[in-house]
Amino acid sequence: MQSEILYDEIFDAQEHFRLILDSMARPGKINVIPNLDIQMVDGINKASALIGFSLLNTDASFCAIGELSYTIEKFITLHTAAKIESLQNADFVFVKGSQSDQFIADLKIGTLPYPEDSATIVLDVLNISTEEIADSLQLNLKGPGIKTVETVYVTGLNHAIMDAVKEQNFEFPLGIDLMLTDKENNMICIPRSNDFTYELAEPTNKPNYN
Amino acid sequence: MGYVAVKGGTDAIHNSQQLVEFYRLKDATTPLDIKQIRSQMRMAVDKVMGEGGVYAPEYAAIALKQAEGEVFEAAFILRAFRATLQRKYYSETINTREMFVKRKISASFREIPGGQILGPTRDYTQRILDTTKAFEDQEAIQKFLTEFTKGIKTDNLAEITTFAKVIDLLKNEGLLKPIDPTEDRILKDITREAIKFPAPRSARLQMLARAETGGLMALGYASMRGFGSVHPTVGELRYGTVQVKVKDATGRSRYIGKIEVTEAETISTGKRVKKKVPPFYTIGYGLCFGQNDTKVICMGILDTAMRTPDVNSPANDQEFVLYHTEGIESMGFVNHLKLPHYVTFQSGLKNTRAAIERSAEKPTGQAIQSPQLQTV
Amino acid sequence: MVANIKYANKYNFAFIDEATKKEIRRKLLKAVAIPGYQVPYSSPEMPIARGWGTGGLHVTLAVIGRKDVFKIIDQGSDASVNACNLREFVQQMTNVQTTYDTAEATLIQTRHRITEEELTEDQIFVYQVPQPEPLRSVERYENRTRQMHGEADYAKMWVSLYESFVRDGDIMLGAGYPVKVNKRYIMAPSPIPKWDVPNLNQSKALHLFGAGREKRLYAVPPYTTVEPLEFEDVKFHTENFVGTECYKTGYKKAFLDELYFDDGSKHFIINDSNFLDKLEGKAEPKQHENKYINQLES
Repeated sequence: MQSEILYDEIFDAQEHFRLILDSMARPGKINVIPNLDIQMVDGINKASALIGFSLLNTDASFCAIGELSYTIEKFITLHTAAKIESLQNADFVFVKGSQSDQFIADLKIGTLPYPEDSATIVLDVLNISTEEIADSLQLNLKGPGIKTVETVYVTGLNHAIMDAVKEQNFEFPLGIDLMLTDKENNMICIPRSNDFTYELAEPTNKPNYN
Repeated sequence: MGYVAVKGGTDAIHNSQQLVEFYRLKDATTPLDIKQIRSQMRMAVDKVMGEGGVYAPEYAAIALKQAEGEVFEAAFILRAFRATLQRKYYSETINTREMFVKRKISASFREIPGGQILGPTRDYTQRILDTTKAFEDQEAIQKFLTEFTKGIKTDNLAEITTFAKVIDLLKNEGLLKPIDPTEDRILKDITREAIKFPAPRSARLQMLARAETGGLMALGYASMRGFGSVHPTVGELRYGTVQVKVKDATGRSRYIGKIEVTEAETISTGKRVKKKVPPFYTIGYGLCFGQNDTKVICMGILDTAMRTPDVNSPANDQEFVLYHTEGIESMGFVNHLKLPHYVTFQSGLKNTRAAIERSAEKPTGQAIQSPQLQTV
Repeated sequence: MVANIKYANKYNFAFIDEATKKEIRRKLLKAVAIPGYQVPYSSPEMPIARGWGTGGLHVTLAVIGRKDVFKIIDQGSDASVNACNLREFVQQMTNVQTTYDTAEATLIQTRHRITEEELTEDQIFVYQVPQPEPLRSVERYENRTRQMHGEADYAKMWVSLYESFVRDGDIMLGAGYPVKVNKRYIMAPSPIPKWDVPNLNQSKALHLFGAGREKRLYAVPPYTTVEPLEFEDVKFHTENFVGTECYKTGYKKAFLDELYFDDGSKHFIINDSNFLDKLEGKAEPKQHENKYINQLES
């Protein structure tokens, strides 16, 4: 444990958890994780690291994939004592939104009697916003936690990941849960119960999923 | 606004807390010394530690004092205290082959390696109420201790040694079922995660070790008497101290102290799945903190019984045994019936009254059975 | 990381150690992601007895923060002795503000009632659950009920409801009436009266359930479909208080307690103590709305 990190294991962890819980209970609702003055490593959004700090400890496992994954794993395990696991067995997976979707099929999705024995993806994107932004993916979220439809715009997210997640979550309650963070510490969650569709921004203008 | 009622509730519980303390102290007798409880209420302390799930004789004694000798309550207090302690290490497996034996008996052989050592036991005392205990004083205690010590022939003491186990004899002769490579060797800690069924043996034994002695006895006895089929022979029962070691950060094994345990290995004839397979013996295992023969023997019986699932005998049914011998949970839930339930009762009342009315409207209808109120 | 020195209490903030809190938090997120599904958790012993609200306390203490305003009720009452005891415990272990006012609370723990006053999007409602398994009355084994939930095989449950109707002319389930959550899992809403069950449907608040002795957590997120089990021709209905009214306020549109006075006479009174206080103080608390309540006159 490094002493230069100004992170309160009790109160910061609690405050951040409440925001995560709120985002998980209300998919698409953007919560902002307070911008703590902590020393970071490259390759991971600060909000993603703080999600890790808030939820991980020696009883949980995780892995990071993609660029700088080794640095990220070292960083997170140093501050949480969580176990680094293979992709197939990890409880939490830290990954960038630009990643190819191949890894999704390897994640654990639980069993019918115990569907919670499944992975949660913490996904780094560039921007999350309720306002339309250029080159963004428009997510239309429906399901528990949402009164009618929630619309969020995300940049830096490979839409193939969303296709793969959708496929994995087809056999509900089996599936994986998503937490997305951006560079500004914005966060949204998409639980497996969510029935989402997306639209690609102009000019690509591909047809709607579904 | 009328918050008087809230004040009433808080006052009531505060008064009740005061009153229970008053009842503990009202006769103004000499305060019980924790050392005395530890020493003279040894068996109660052992039971509280075992069911409380933490080896701490002094704290168990305090809990007993606080609970006015109610063992369930004391075990519960200790268990709640345990939950506030940080678990820094898992110990290495304790080795009962290296036990400093205080008591060691076998019912299966007349002579065993090292001989039968009765040790401290009430088994062969006559249970006659000893009214002289009412007048026991310091002098009497000293007199007994002096005479007892005099009786020890210090020039004739055997060297401290460890003893081979009875099951080793059986194993060497090939009478035990060979270790099945598919047998579950999963190590679960039920204090860190909820038990899942079917539960691995490690989880079952851990539950049994923290279970309530009386509950284990009821089910173990039932299995022997006819509601089940396990009537084992006590291969070996030993009581004594064992060393506890943990690995430090460098991987070195460190001795951190010793604890007293009782261990039983009960022998039964194994259930053969296929015909034409020769018979074999199977071992039921029990281990608990302190000295508690009844508990470990019943653990042995239930360990054996649970390995051959059979819904027709309660002792062979994992879920039945493990959930219902958990004393602290059972006690809590039984006592929660004292909490107000008037909302749930009102809900059931509405149903019952309506059903009676419907039945009265239909004179030719059948007699209605008493409806099931949702039990909560 | 910097150790917490702000609260030099003998016990950790919110009593439970941080490792266990994290475990409960991870499990709560799963519970929210799979509405109505019971997630197993470690459920450490608490200094109150099993069956007296340990599960509710685990949830409360794992989510509570210094800014929360905490309310706790038992049988609808802030004054119930066990609620008083738990309120004191939570207050001593966290130093948070406590309240009796439903509207002011951010975190509400309950045993056997949902408040009469409507819950908001800013509130978390925590239930103490004695028996989390709605199928336990038709199947005693945990590994089989797990299988039934996994496969959404609820035939036994439906048969039992049908038999109840054939025997007594109605589905004779009272408090803790089983519901289907998000069209998937059958869930025990804890022993709240039928009166409260419709208020779980499309609620604005997040509902978290803790069954300590049985070591299970589950959740109903806000805006989630929650339907009581019923047949097309045998409908669910709430407790019928027609012809009775609160003897203090004359109000008819709330869950009422039946009281017997010393002279043997029977009276009714609003069960929810804070709601009653507000009506008596001429305040106008916003009540839950649902199709069962809406058809009643106040």
